[in-house]
Amino acid sequence: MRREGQPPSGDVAADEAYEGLGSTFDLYSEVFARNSIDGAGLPLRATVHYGHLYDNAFWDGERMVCGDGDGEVFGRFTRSLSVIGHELTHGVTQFASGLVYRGQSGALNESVSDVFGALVEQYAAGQTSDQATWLIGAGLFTPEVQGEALRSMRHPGMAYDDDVLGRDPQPAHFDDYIQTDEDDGGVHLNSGIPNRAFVLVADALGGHAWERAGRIWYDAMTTRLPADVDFAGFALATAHAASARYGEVSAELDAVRAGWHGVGVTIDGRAG
Amino acid sequence: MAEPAEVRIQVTRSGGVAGIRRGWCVESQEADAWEPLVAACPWDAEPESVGADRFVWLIEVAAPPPVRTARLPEGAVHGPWRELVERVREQGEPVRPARRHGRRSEHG
Repeated sequence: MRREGQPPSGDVAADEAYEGLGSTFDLYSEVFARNSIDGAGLPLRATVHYGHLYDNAFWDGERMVCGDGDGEVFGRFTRSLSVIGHELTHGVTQFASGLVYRGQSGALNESVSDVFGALVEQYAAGQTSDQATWLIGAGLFTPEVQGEALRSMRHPGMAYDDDVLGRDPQPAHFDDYIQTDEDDGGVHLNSGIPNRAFVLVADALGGHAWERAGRIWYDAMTTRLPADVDFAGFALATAHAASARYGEVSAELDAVRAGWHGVGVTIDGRAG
Repeated sequence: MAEPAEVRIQVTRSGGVAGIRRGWCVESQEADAWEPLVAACPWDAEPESVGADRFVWLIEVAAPPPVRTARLPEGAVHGPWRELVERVREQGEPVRPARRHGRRSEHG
Protein backbone atom coordinates (compact mmCIF):
# COMPACT_ATOMS: atom_id res chain seq x y z
CA MET A 1 0.00 0.00 0.00
CA ARG A 2 1.19 3.52 -0.80
CA ARG A 3 -0.50 6.42 0.99
CA GLU A 4 -0.65 10.08 -0.04
CA GLY A 5 2.75 11.77 0.26
CA GLN A 6 4.75 8.57 0.64
CA PRO A 7 7.72 7.82 -1.66
CA PRO A 8 7.45 5.24 -4.47
CA SER A 9 6.77 1.74 -3.18
CA GLY A 10 8.82 -0.08 -5.81
CA ASP A 11 5.70 -2.04 -6.87
CA VAL A 12 5.15 -0.88 -10.47
CA ALA A 13 1.36 -1.35 -10.46
CA ALA A 14 0.95 0.38 -7.08
CA ASP A 15 3.10 3.32 -8.18
CA GLU A 16 1.28 3.65 -11.52
CA ALA A 17 -2.08 3.59 -9.72
CA TYR A 18 -0.84 6.21 -7.23
CA GLU A 19 0.36 8.52 -10.02
CA GLY A 20 -2.86 7.95 -11.99
CA LEU A 21 -5.08 8.80 -9.03
CA GLY A 22 -3.05 12.01 -8.63
CA SER A 23 -3.33 12.96 -12.31
CA THR A 24 -7.08 12.36 -12.24
CA PHE A 25 -7.48 14.39 -9.05
CA ASP A 26 -5.49 17.24 -10.67
CA LEU A 27 -7.72 17.44 -13.77
CA TYR A 28 -10.93 17.57 -11.75
CA SER A 29 -9.48 19.96 -9.16
CA GLU A 30 -7.48 22.36 -11.33
CA VAL A 31 -9.72 22.49 -14.42
CA PHE A 32 -13.21 21.92 -13.05
CA ALA A 33 -12.71 23.02 -9.39
CA ARG A 34 -14.10 19.68 -8.22
CA ASN A 35 -12.63 18.41 -4.96
CA SER A 36 -12.25 14.69 -5.69
CA ILE A 37 -14.87 12.41 -7.20
CA ASP A 38 -17.67 13.32 -4.78
CA GLY A 39 -16.87 17.04 -4.79
CA ALA A 40 -16.18 16.82 -1.04
CA GLY A 41 -12.62 15.51 -0.84
CA LEU A 42 -13.28 11.77 -0.79
CA PRO A 43 -9.90 9.97 -0.58
CA LEU A 44 -9.18 8.11 -3.84
CA ARG A 45 -8.50 4.42 -3.38
CA ALA A 46 -7.29 1.63 -5.63
CA THR A 47 -6.68 -2.09 -5.37
CA VAL A 48 -3.96 -3.54 -7.61
CA HIS A 49 -2.90 -7.14 -8.39
CA TYR A 50 -6.58 -8.12 -8.03
CA GLY A 51 -7.35 -11.83 -8.57
CA HIS A 52 -5.15 -14.20 -10.55
CA LEU A 53 -4.27 -13.29 -14.16
CA TYR A 54 -7.36 -11.07 -13.98
CA ASP A 55 -7.78 -9.26 -17.30
CA ASN A 56 -9.90 -6.30 -16.34
CA ALA A 57 -10.16 -3.08 -14.36
CA PHE A 58 -13.42 -1.92 -12.78
CA TRP A 59 -15.09 0.49 -10.38
CA ASP A 60 -16.69 -1.40 -7.47
CA GLY A 61 -18.77 1.52 -6.19
CA GLU A 62 -16.07 2.69 -3.78
CA ARG A 63 -12.69 2.17 -5.43
CA MET A 64 -10.81 1.34 -8.60
CA VAL A 65 -9.77 -2.31 -8.91
CA CYS A 66 -7.06 -3.40 -11.38
CA GLY A 67 -5.88 -6.82 -12.46
CA ASP A 68 -2.43 -7.76 -13.74
CA GLY A 69 -3.80 -9.12 -17.03
CA ASP A 70 -3.55 -12.66 -18.35
CA GLY A 71 -0.21 -12.02 -20.05
CA GLU A 72 -1.58 -13.35 -23.34
CA VAL A 73 -4.01 -10.62 -24.40
CA PHE A 74 -3.54 -8.06 -21.63
CA GLY A 75 -0.73 -6.80 -19.46
CA ARG A 76 -1.36 -4.91 -16.21
CA PHE A 77 -4.24 -2.42 -16.37
CA THR A 78 -2.52 0.35 -14.36
CA ARG A 79 -0.27 0.93 -17.35
CA SER A 80 -2.87 3.15 -19.02
CA LEU A 81 -3.57 6.57 -17.52
CA SER A 82 -6.73 6.91 -19.64
CA VAL A 83 -8.08 3.69 -18.08
CA ILE A 84 -7.35 4.96 -14.54
CA GLY A 85 -9.13 8.23 -15.38
CA HIS A 86 -11.97 6.17 -16.90
CA GLU A 87 -12.46 4.11 -13.73
CA LEU A 88 -12.40 7.09 -11.37
CA THR A 89 -14.82 8.98 -13.59
CA HIS A 90 -17.30 6.16 -12.95
CA GLY A 91 -17.07 7.41 -9.37
CA VAL A 92 -17.75 11.00 -10.45
CA THR A 93 -20.77 9.84 -12.46
CA GLN A 94 -22.03 7.80 -9.52
CA PHE A 95 -22.07 10.92 -7.32
CA ALA A 96 -23.04 13.50 -9.99
CA SER A 97 -25.84 11.91 -12.02
CA GLY A 98 -26.04 8.18 -11.30
CA LEU A 99 -26.46 7.36 -15.00
CA VAL A 100 -28.19 3.97 -15.15
CA TYR A 101 -25.71 1.36 -16.39
CA ARG A 102 -27.81 -0.08 -19.20
CA GLY A 103 -28.74 0.86 -22.77
CA GLN A 104 -28.27 4.48 -23.87
CA SER A 105 -27.79 5.95 -20.38
CA GLY A 106 -25.25 3.17 -19.75
CA ALA A 107 -23.41 3.98 -22.99
CA LEU A 108 -23.34 7.64 -21.89
CA ASN A 109 -21.96 6.54 -18.50
CA GLU A 110 -19.22 4.69 -20.39
CA SER A 111 -18.64 7.56 -22.79
CA VAL A 112 -18.12 10.23 -20.12
CA SER A 113 -15.61 7.86 -18.49
CA ASP A 114 -13.76 7.65 -21.81
CA VAL A 115 -14.02 11.43 -22.36
CA PHE A 116 -12.56 12.36 -18.97
CA GLY A 117 -10.11 9.43 -19.05
CA ALA A 118 -8.74 10.83 -22.30
CA LEU A 119 -8.69 14.35 -20.84
CA VAL A 120 -6.72 13.17 -17.78
CA GLU A 121 -4.09 11.85 -20.18
CA GLN A 122 -4.12 14.96 -22.39
CA TYR A 123 -3.97 17.35 -19.41
CA ALA A 124 -1.01 15.47 -17.91
CA ALA A 125 0.82 15.57 -21.27
CA GLY A 126 -0.24 19.13 -22.19
CA GLN A 127 -1.67 17.96 -25.52
CA THR A 128 -4.04 19.82 -27.81
CA SER A 129 -6.97 18.05 -29.48
CA ASP A 130 -5.07 17.52 -32.73
CA GLN A 131 -1.98 16.19 -30.90
CA ALA A 132 -3.95 13.68 -28.81
CA THR A 133 -4.35 10.04 -29.81
CA TRP A 134 -7.93 9.87 -28.44
CA LEU A 135 -7.19 6.21 -27.68
CA ILE A 136 -8.45 4.56 -24.51
CA GLY A 137 -6.14 1.96 -23.02
CA ALA A 138 -3.22 2.30 -25.42
CA GLY A 139 -0.40 -0.07 -24.41
CA LEU A 140 -2.58 -2.56 -22.52
CA PHE A 141 -2.50 -5.26 -25.19
CA THR A 142 0.49 -7.59 -25.34
CA PRO A 143 2.54 -7.51 -28.57
CA GLU A 144 0.66 -10.68 -29.65
CA VAL A 145 -2.52 -8.69 -30.27
CA GLN A 146 -3.23 -6.91 -33.55
CA GLY A 147 -4.46 -3.62 -32.11
CA GLU A 148 -3.34 -0.40 -30.51
CA ALA A 149 -5.93 0.19 -27.77
CA LEU A 150 -9.30 -0.84 -26.31
CA ARG A 151 -11.14 1.96 -28.09
CA SER A 152 -10.56 4.83 -30.47
CA MET A 153 -12.69 7.87 -29.69
CA ARG A 154 -11.74 9.54 -32.98
CA HIS A 155 -12.31 6.39 -35.06
CA PRO A 156 -14.70 4.08 -33.17
CA GLY A 157 -14.46 0.53 -34.53
CA MET A 158 -10.83 0.87 -35.61
CA ALA A 159 -8.90 0.19 -32.39
CA TYR A 160 -8.13 -3.50 -33.05
CA ASP A 161 -8.68 -6.30 -35.55
CA ASP A 162 -7.33 -9.55 -34.18
CA ASP A 163 -7.74 -13.29 -34.79
CA VAL A 164 -8.56 -14.04 -31.15
CA LEU A 165 -10.46 -10.89 -30.21
CA GLY A 166 -12.18 -10.21 -33.50
CA ARG A 167 -12.68 -6.70 -34.78
CA ASP A 168 -13.42 -3.65 -32.64
CA PRO A 169 -17.25 -3.66 -32.72
CA GLN A 170 -17.89 -0.01 -31.80
CA PRO A 171 -20.30 1.98 -33.97
CA ALA A 172 -19.40 5.57 -34.86
CA HIS A 173 -22.90 6.69 -35.90
CA PHE A 174 -26.38 6.39 -34.37
CA ASP A 175 -27.59 4.55 -37.50
CA ASP A 176 -25.37 1.64 -36.42
CA TYR A 177 -26.53 1.54 -32.76
CA ILE A 178 -26.23 -2.06 -31.50
CA GLN A 179 -29.19 -3.64 -29.71
CA THR A 180 -27.91 -6.44 -27.49
CA ASP A 181 -28.47 -8.08 -24.12
CA GLU A 182 -24.74 -8.59 -23.65
CA ASP A 183 -22.45 -6.05 -21.96
CA ASP A 184 -25.33 -4.50 -19.95
CA GLY A 185 -27.04 -3.63 -23.23
CA GLY A 186 -23.93 -2.77 -25.22
CA VAL A 187 -22.64 0.00 -22.94
CA HIS A 188 -19.02 -0.48 -24.09
CA LEU A 189 -20.11 -0.75 -27.74
CA ASN A 190 -22.50 2.14 -28.26
CA SER A 191 -20.31 4.54 -26.26
CA GLY A 192 -18.45 4.96 -29.57
CA ILE A 193 -21.26 7.24 -30.78
CA PRO A 194 -21.12 9.94 -28.05
CA ASN A 195 -17.32 9.48 -27.90
CA ARG A 196 -17.02 10.56 -31.51
CA ALA A 197 -19.43 13.44 -30.95
CA PHE A 198 -17.10 14.76 -28.24
CA VAL A 199 -14.02 14.53 -30.48
CA LEU A 200 -15.86 16.38 -33.26
CA VAL A 201 -16.66 19.18 -30.80
CA ALA A 202 -13.09 19.25 -29.47
CA ASP A 203 -11.63 19.30 -32.99
CA ALA A 204 -13.96 22.09 -34.10
CA LEU A 205 -12.99 24.26 -31.13
CA GLY A 206 -9.29 23.36 -31.28
CA GLY A 207 -6.68 23.85 -28.58
CA HIS A 208 -6.85 22.00 -25.27
CA ALA A 209 -9.97 19.84 -25.25
CA TRP A 210 -10.45 20.20 -21.48
CA GLU A 211 -10.86 23.98 -21.73
CA ARG A 212 -14.11 24.27 -23.67
CA ALA A 213 -15.40 20.90 -24.93
CA GLY A 214 -14.51 19.29 -21.59
CA ARG A 215 -16.07 22.16 -19.65
CA ILE A 216 -19.33 21.82 -21.60
CA TRP A 217 -19.47 18.04 -20.99
CA TYR A 218 -18.59 18.53 -17.32
CA ASP A 219 -21.37 21.12 -16.89
CA ALA A 220 -23.86 18.81 -18.63
CA MET A 221 -23.01 15.76 -16.51
CA THR A 222 -23.16 17.68 -13.22
CA THR A 223 -26.28 19.79 -13.81
CA ARG A 224 -29.59 18.01 -13.13
CA LEU A 225 -29.00 15.24 -15.65
CA PRO A 226 -31.72 12.53 -15.43
CA ALA A 227 -30.23 9.13 -14.52
CA ASP A 228 -32.04 7.46 -17.42
CA VAL A 229 -31.22 10.12 -20.05
CA ASP A 230 -30.86 8.95 -23.66
CA PHE A 231 -28.42 10.21 -26.32
CA ALA A 232 -30.79 12.95 -27.54
CA GLY A 233 -31.42 14.12 -23.98
CA PHE A 234 -27.72 14.25 -23.21
CA ALA A 235 -27.05 16.10 -26.47
CA LEU A 236 -29.65 18.65 -25.42
CA ALA A 237 -27.98 18.97 -22.01
CA THR A 238 -24.63 19.73 -23.67
CA ALA A 239 -26.29 22.35 -25.89
CA HIS A 240 -27.85 23.97 -22.82
CA ALA A 241 -24.48 23.89 -21.08
CA ALA A 242 -22.73 25.51 -24.06
CA SER A 243 -25.42 28.16 -24.33
CA ALA A 244 -25.38 28.93 -20.59
CA ARG A 245 -21.60 29.33 -20.43
CA TYR A 246 -20.73 30.79 -23.84
CA GLY A 247 -23.98 32.35 -25.10
CA GLU A 248 -26.79 31.53 -27.49
CA VAL A 249 -24.74 32.85 -30.39
CA SER A 250 -21.37 31.23 -29.92
CA ALA A 251 -18.81 29.06 -31.67
CA GLU A 252 -19.15 26.62 -28.76
CA LEU A 253 -22.89 26.05 -29.26
CA ASP A 254 -22.36 25.72 -33.02
CA ALA A 255 -19.65 23.12 -32.42
CA VAL A 256 -21.87 21.12 -30.04
CA ARG A 257 -24.75 21.07 -32.53
CA ALA A 258 -22.44 20.04 -35.39
CA GLY A 259 -20.76 17.37 -33.26
CA TRP A 260 -23.99 15.58 -32.43
CA HIS A 261 -25.28 16.02 -35.99
CA GLY A 262 -22.07 14.32 -37.16
CA VAL A 263 -23.00 11.12 -35.33
CA GLY A 264 -26.68 11.20 -36.26
CA VAL A 265 -28.11 12.50 -32.97
CA THR A 266 -30.57 15.34 -33.43
CA ILE A 267 -30.89 18.15 -30.91
CA ASP A 268 -34.45 19.41 -30.95
CA GLY A 269 -35.54 23.05 -31.31
CA ARG A 270 -35.46 23.82 -27.59
CA ALA A 271 -31.67 23.79 -27.50
CA GLY A 272 -29.78 27.02 -27.01
CA MET B 1 -22.71 -39.30 -39.05
CA ALA B 2 -21.42 -38.29 -35.61
CA GLU B 3 -23.65 -38.79 -32.59
CA PRO B 4 -25.10 -35.57 -31.19
CA ALA B 5 -23.16 -34.47 -28.11
CA GLU B 6 -24.72 -35.44 -24.80
CA VAL B 7 -23.17 -32.35 -23.30
CA ARG B 8 -23.02 -28.97 -24.96
CA ILE B 9 -22.35 -25.97 -22.74
CA GLN B 10 -21.21 -22.53 -23.81
CA VAL B 11 -20.07 -19.71 -21.53
CA THR B 12 -19.72 -16.20 -22.97
CA ARG B 13 -18.13 -13.25 -21.23
CA SER B 14 -18.96 -9.70 -22.33
CA GLY B 15 -18.34 -6.26 -20.83
CA GLY B 16 -15.35 -5.41 -18.69
CA VAL B 17 -13.56 -2.13 -19.32
CA ALA B 18 -12.46 -3.48 -22.71
CA GLY B 19 -15.97 -4.52 -23.75
CA ILE B 20 -14.46 -7.52 -25.54
CA ARG B 21 -16.57 -10.66 -25.96
CA ARG B 22 -14.91 -14.01 -25.24
CA GLY B 23 -16.59 -17.40 -25.38
CA TRP B 24 -15.75 -21.03 -24.55
CA CYS B 25 -17.74 -24.12 -25.48
CA VAL B 26 -17.51 -27.73 -24.36
CA GLU B 27 -18.98 -30.74 -26.16
CA SER B 28 -18.75 -34.16 -24.57
CA GLN B 29 -20.44 -37.55 -24.35
CA GLU B 30 -19.86 -37.70 -20.59
CA ALA B 31 -23.21 -36.47 -19.32
CA ASP B 32 -22.64 -38.10 -15.92
CA ALA B 33 -19.58 -35.91 -15.34
CA TRP B 34 -21.33 -32.64 -16.19
CA GLU B 35 -24.90 -33.14 -15.00
CA PRO B 36 -24.11 -32.63 -11.27
CA LEU B 37 -22.17 -29.42 -12.02
CA VAL B 38 -25.10 -28.03 -14.01
CA ALA B 39 -27.72 -29.14 -11.50
CA ALA B 40 -25.85 -27.49 -8.61
CA CYS B 41 -26.24 -23.99 -10.10
CA PRO B 42 -29.05 -21.69 -8.88
CA TRP B 43 -30.71 -21.15 -12.29
CA ASP B 44 -33.67 -19.15 -10.98
CA ALA B 45 -31.72 -16.45 -9.12
CA GLU B 46 -31.46 -13.00 -10.76
CA PRO B 47 -28.52 -11.28 -9.09
CA GLU B 48 -27.93 -7.52 -9.56
CA SER B 49 -24.64 -6.00 -10.68
CA VAL B 50 -22.84 -3.28 -8.65
CA GLY B 51 -20.34 -0.71 -9.94
CA ALA B 52 -19.12 -0.39 -13.54
CA ASP B 53 -16.91 -2.28 -16.01
CA ARG B 54 -17.67 -5.66 -14.45
CA PHE B 55 -17.87 -8.69 -16.73
CA VAL B 56 -21.28 -10.12 -17.68
CA TRP B 57 -21.51 -13.90 -18.15
CA LEU B 58 -24.00 -15.78 -20.31
CA ILE B 59 -24.25 -19.48 -19.45
CA GLU B 60 -26.05 -21.67 -22.00
CA VAL B 61 -26.69 -25.38 -21.55
CA ALA B 62 -28.02 -26.97 -24.75
CA ALA B 63 -27.48 -30.49 -23.35
CA PRO B 64 -28.01 -32.40 -21.14
CA PRO B 65 -31.69 -31.39 -21.08
CA PRO B 66 -33.51 -29.32 -20.14
CA VAL B 67 -32.10 -26.34 -22.08
CA ARG B 68 -31.08 -23.69 -19.57
CA THR B 69 -29.77 -20.11 -19.81
CA ALA B 70 -28.53 -17.68 -17.17
CA ARG B 71 -27.16 -14.16 -17.42
CA LEU B 72 -24.90 -13.34 -14.49
CA PRO B 73 -22.96 -10.33 -13.28
CA GLU B 74 -19.35 -11.21 -12.50
CA GLY B 75 -19.95 -10.81 -8.77
CA ALA B 76 -22.45 -13.70 -8.85
CA VAL B 77 -20.01 -16.12 -10.46
CA HIS B 78 -18.89 -17.98 -7.36
CA GLY B 79 -19.59 -21.39 -5.83
CA PRO B 80 -21.21 -23.79 -8.33
CA TRP B 81 -21.36 -21.12 -11.08
CA ARG B 82 -17.63 -20.55 -10.81
CA GLU B 83 -16.95 -24.26 -10.86
CA LEU B 84 -19.03 -24.69 -14.03
CA VAL B 85 -17.48 -21.69 -15.81
CA GLU B 86 -13.93 -22.72 -14.92
CA ARG B 87 -14.52 -26.29 -16.09
CA VAL B 88 -15.91 -25.14 -19.45
CA ARG B 89 -12.95 -22.78 -19.92
CA GLU B 90 -10.46 -25.52 -19.01
CA GLN B 91 -11.99 -28.41 -20.95
CA GLY B 92 -13.76 -26.56 -23.74
CA GLU B 93 -12.55 -24.69 -26.80
CA PRO B 94 -12.46 -20.94 -27.35
CA VAL B 95 -15.32 -19.75 -29.55
CA ARG B 96 -14.02 -17.84 -32.55
CA PRO B 97 -15.21 -14.23 -32.64
CA ALA B 98 -18.28 -13.78 -34.81
CA ARG B 99 -18.07 -11.29 -37.63
CA ARG B 100 -20.88 -8.78 -37.58
CA HIS B 101 -22.56 -8.83 -40.96
CA GLY B 102 -23.32 -5.80 -43.05
CA ARG B 103 -21.51 -3.25 -40.94
CA ARG B 104 -18.61 -0.97 -41.75
CA SER B 105 -18.18 -2.39 -45.22
CA GLU B 106 -16.99 1.08 -46.24
CA HIS B 107 -13.68 0.32 -44.48
CA GLY B 108 -13.14 -2.68 -46.74
